[in-house]
Order: sequence, then C-alpha cells, then structure tokens
Amino acid sequence: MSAGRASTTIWFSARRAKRDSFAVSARTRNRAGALALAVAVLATSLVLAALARGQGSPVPGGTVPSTLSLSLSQPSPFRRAGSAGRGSVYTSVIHAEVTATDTPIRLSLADGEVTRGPRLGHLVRGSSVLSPALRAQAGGGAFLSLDAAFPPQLKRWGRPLSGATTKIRLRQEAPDARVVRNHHKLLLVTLTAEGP
Amino acid sequence: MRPPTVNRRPARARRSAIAALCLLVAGFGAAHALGASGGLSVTPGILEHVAQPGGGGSLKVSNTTSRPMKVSLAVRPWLQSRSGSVAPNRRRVLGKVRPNRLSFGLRAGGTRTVRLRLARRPKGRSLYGAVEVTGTPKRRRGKGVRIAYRLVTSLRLYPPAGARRFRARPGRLFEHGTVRHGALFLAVKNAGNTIDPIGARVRISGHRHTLSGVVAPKTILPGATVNLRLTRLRGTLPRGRYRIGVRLTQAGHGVGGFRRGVRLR
Repeated sequence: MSAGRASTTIWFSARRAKRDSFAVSARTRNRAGALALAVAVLATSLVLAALARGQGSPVPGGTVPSTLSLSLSQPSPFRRAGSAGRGSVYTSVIHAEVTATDTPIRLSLADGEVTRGPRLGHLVRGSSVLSPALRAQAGGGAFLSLDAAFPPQLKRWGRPLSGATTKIRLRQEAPDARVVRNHHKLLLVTLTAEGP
Repeated sequence: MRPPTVNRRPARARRSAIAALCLLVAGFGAAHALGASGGLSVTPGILEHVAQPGGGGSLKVSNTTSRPMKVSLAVRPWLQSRSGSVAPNRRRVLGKVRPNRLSFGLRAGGTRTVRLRLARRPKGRSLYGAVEVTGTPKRRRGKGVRIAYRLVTSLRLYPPAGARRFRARPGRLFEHGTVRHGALFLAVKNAGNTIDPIGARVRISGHRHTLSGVVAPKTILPGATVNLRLTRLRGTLPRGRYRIGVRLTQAGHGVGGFRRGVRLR
C-alpha cells in the first residue's frame, strides 16, 4: 500500500516537474517577446523622431500639367468568335493606353466617315453597307452599337489616370470572313476630359 | 510500406518558368504593340479663360507615334441630352473661336502649339465648347478597320466677375413609371451664363404623407434643358394628388422655384 502511494507521489512529482518546466519555458518565451517588442517600439520611435527632426512629416507630392493622352495599337485582324443566326461573329481587338489628369474621363468610339445616315456605324465597301452595325465594348461592359446618333460611351474613369490600359473589342456579324475583310471603316477612338 | 516518392519540384518549377515566360512575352507583345504605334496627347486638358475678345489660350499637341500624323482641329459646341450626358456636336463649329491652324501635319515625335482666339464678345458673355483634336496616322487607304485619335478637351470662357448670372427655369414635371417603381422628374433649363451645377430641394406632401429631400446637382449648359430626378418612387407614397414644392439652387444661390399639384399614378 505504502509502496503504491510512494509510486503515485513520484509520478505526480514528475508530472508537476514537467508542467513547471513548460511554465518556465512559456515564461521565458513571454519575456523574450516582450523584450523584442520593447526594442521594436524604441527603434520605431527613434526613427520617427529623427524624421520629425530632419524634415517635418514625410508627405510625398508634386504637380503635373493638365494633360490628355491616348495611345492605340493597330486593330487586330477580325477573327471568328462564334456563330449568330445564319452567319458568324468576328471580333477584333484594339489596345488603348490612357493618361489623363482631369476627371471624369470618358472613352467612346465614333464613326470617322459619316455623322448620320444609313452608313453610320456600318462597315462599307463602295455602295454596299454591311448589316448589322459594328458593335464595340471596353473593359468588360456590354457591346454597344456604333450606329447611334449619340456616340456610345465605352468606359468611364472617375480618377486621374497614368498609363491605364484597356481593351476595345469590336464585333461584327457577317456571312463569312472574306466579307468582313473586304469592307472598311475609319473609327475615331475618342477620349474626353470632364464635361462641358 | 510507403510508395517511392516522386520529386515533383523540377516539373513544378518548369511549369512556373513556362507560365512566367508566357506572361512576359504577352506583356512585352502588348507593350510593343502600343509602343510601336504610340499616341497623341494634348496639354492642357481643360482651357479656362475669361471671355474677352482676343483671348482664348493655347493648346500643345504632341505626336508620340513613330509615324507622321495629320492633325485637324475644330472648336465645337456641346450637345447635351435630357439625361445630362454631353458630346461635341460634330455637325457644327463655334465660329466665334478661331484657332490659328485648322489642320497641319505633325512628324513622328513632333509637337505644335495652336492658339485660340475669341473673335468677338459672345452673346451671353460666356462660351462653353469642346476643342476636338483629331489625329489620323498617315497610311494607305486600305480595307478593314482603320483608327484615328480624337481627343476632346473642354473650352470654358467664363463671364467676367460682374457679369455672372445664375438663373434656372423649371419646366415640365412628370412621373416616369408608377408609384411603386418609378421616379419623379423635373425639366430644368439653365437660363444663366455659368456651368455651376444646378440642384434642388424638394418637398412632396399630401395624403398624410410628407417627403422632403435634396436633389443631386447636375451640370447644365447655358440654354440647355436637363431632367432632374426629384425623387425615386418605391411605394412610399400612395396614388393620388400631391403638392410639390421645389427650390432650385446654383452655386449657393436660390435661382428659382415653384409649387404645383401633381397626380401620382
């Protein structure tokens, strides 16, 4: 009986010793963490004090002249993207890069050959007009038809831009690729700074 | 027994390297495509001056493409729709503002300054227009889609300090949709000579309901009419006749107002 109690005591004491060692290691870790934190706080305060003494609060800034700039890639050749009705859908892509300081900035696409009439927004070849009208989209928006009297706004930015890129996608439905290739159109990629 | 481990690291690294290379090539291709064609830029983006004969300011046009470009310039009036959106009216030009050059060739990397001159004093002592700079890269007339650059900057010739007039004229009051899903609009004409946005305070009362609020201001060109949305109707007001009081404001000034009865459907 006594032997059993003694063994129990020993077992308990061993367990306590193990627990105590854990407690000691945890305490040591806490102390090390607190020391590191104190050193970090001290270093940060010293750096901030040096900055404040040197040149006041560090506020980066500058001014740029009011500007409006547009860069465009050549439109890629029309490629078949799917089928629609009795024909196919062909798409072409134009990469645009915009830099502008005055907001809001609007990107739109207009017909560069006519401003009204049945040829507005359509690919043409001589007297032949390809129907339906060319459609355009930019930055994941909806495809908008270019035959509207008011040029469709493809994208709008509410902040100044520096080298912002966007993709303008053109879509044309046609019976075959040769028809699309043989027609032509001059498009005005328009960038407008602010309103009136 | 554990199966023999296969060292997947080299394959994964190879795949990552191929993906990075593809991204690099794609990025370089896009940058090269843009860089090869370059662009057109105009400084400043907005021209602001007092409307005095002889004045008007100047624009600097730069061709950053690697090819010569034909540049044409036109000063056009704005066209404003009833919703408030604006675009230059491509069928008209503002004859009172004359650029010293209407079209010119610009070599690759070239810059040219164009001066604008207000020929005579405008009728309302102010003039607002769009300066449209169109750049067409010189190229054989071919098939397919060709593109040209069009940069539209704003020309604001403000009235002199003593000649500023803030005035707005309320027009038709109409309901679009129903009392459940609709809105109440007021057509407002800018009868002044500034482009300070016009807003309103509105109060609708009747049928033991009262609704009041502030209407978000909108820029309206002098002489143009735009529909201001007074309130959205989301079933908060039952059908019937109401009294509406509107007070129009512009640049902190009260510029007009009215009280009318309206039937909401």
